[in-house]
Amino acid sequence: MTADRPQAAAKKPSSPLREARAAFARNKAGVLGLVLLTLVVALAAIGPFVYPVDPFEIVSAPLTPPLHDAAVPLGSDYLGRDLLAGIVHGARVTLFVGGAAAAMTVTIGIVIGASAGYWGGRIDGLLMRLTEFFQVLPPLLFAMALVTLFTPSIPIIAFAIGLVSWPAMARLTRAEFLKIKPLGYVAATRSGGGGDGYLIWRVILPNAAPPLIVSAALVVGMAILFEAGLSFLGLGDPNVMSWGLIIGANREYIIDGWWTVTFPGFAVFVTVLGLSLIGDGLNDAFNPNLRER
Amino acid sequence: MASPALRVHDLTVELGGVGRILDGVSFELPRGQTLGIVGESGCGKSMTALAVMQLMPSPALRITAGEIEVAGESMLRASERRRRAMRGSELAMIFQDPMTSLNPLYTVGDQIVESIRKNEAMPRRRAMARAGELLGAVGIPDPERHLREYPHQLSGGKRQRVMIAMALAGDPGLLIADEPTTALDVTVQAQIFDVLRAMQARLGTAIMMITHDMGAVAEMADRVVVMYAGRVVEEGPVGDILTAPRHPYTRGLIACIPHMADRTFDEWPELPAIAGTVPELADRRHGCAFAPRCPLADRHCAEAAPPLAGAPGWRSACWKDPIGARQ
Repeated sequence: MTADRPQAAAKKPSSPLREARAAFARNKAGVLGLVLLTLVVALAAIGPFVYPVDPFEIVSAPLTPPLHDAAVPLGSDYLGRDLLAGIVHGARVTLFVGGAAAAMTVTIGIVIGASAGYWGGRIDGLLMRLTEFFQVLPPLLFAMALVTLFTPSIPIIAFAIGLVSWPAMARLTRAEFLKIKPLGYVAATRSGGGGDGYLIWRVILPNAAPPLIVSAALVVGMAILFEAGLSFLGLGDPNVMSWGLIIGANREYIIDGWWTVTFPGFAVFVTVLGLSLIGDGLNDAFNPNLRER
Repeated sequence: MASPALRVHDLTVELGGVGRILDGVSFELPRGQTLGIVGESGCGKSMTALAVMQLMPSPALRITAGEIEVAGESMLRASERRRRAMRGSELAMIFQDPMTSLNPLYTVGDQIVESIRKNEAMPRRRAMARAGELLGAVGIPDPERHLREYPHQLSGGKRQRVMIAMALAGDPGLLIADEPTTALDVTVQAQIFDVLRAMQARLGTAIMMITHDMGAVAEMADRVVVMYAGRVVEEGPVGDILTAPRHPYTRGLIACIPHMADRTFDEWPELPAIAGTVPELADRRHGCAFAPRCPLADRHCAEAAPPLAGAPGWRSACWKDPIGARQ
């Protein structure tokens, strides 16, 4: 494909996946996003072992500014808890909520969207009314209602975020199915004896995947923001340290201790930025019109 | 006597509330032969093919009468599960546009292997070897290399060859070809016809070829079914119909074939065309559907639809045909 490596192109037949990967590698912003996310994931994976300070333990005077006390390099919060420990330990929780909520969003969205788009007719009408019902509920209020209904815990929060986020994914999946279903290879596969399940999972869904993957990457970022928002409103799990919980707990001290909300806020920002850049990079990589040559 | 590869009897397809897309279509295709189905766009050719496959594009289209038998087995009475099993192994179809008929995400080899294994369980490696043989049989040079390629790396002619290989992977007794060469250029068209003929000779596949091109029919078909506005208007052996067509619509179609041989470009006459268009479904009334465009039509033609008449083997549906219908 590329002019500077004609032998490689001639030797290996270029698969759509391989081409997309090469296009992603050429996208600087996308690679930056991948680097940022890798750092956050690494922080979540090994941070707690490298920096094993209990984030709930009071180790310093309240609201110690950063770089004043060697025990709390990033300062302490309003109770005197180590902010760095909170950020390091909160990374896991934040990523878990983002990942779990996104997984739920993608699963519900694809199942409903694919069924509606594939079968059409009455099933489509029914599923789309259901989708619209969820879509018209204000997501934040709906999620708050769900979290307060049960006890606020991390799985419940992830569940609530997933439950309010799937309609957009369902609509996107349905639109892709409607676009691909009339294409020749679907009819050709069916005339060769392909059944409904085979057509949905092996033929249409893989061809619909690019925009869904992009969307899923963005959903993870959105879910992280959502968790931070819920925690900020005091609906987070008070027993598990997450970035949102740090911001929420310290929100009243934003004037006296700017660092207490700035550092966890920055951590959220970097993670969501990384995910957004990855999403954009994937979008460009899957879009042949934007691909150079 | 063995049952024919395909028997369509009195097939009627209705579009809910609007009218009949197909109206009493009957024909037979003996094993190992080729049947050409000709007519303009909107005459019901492709609908006939989809009805035979039992792949109606919309639930609003319903078969309200008739019978479709593939190798003696009813497609209409078969369960959906049985139909799925029959597709690919008893009957298969190739489509007009080879550019979109292959899944862009899988290699040619993978797609043929899927077709093979759907009809016969075998290890992947053996299926891949079979796929290579099939590609060779449909005239693709260096099949080993092409097995690993993706559809976008192939030319239109090669893609159509791949489609034929996939369709024949399950060794079906009936192959439906819906305008298989319309999207290809003329030299490739001739090659595809050669491939179809070669595969037919080798596997004994009956071919139902849908086309609007009388030239293609002349080249490929043993028998011809001429369709107009959802009905069969003439049906018979290809030689007879091409030399002495009995229905004025057939005569019109044949007059539209350009003859290159005995003319230079300067004296090229204006190509004849049949005036008017196929009537819309909602506009079809009683009487012969072709009457508004027919040079021979009189009052009687507009009032009563002519039946398909004449000796079995060569029939036409025209009041003005002296051999067939009698007034």
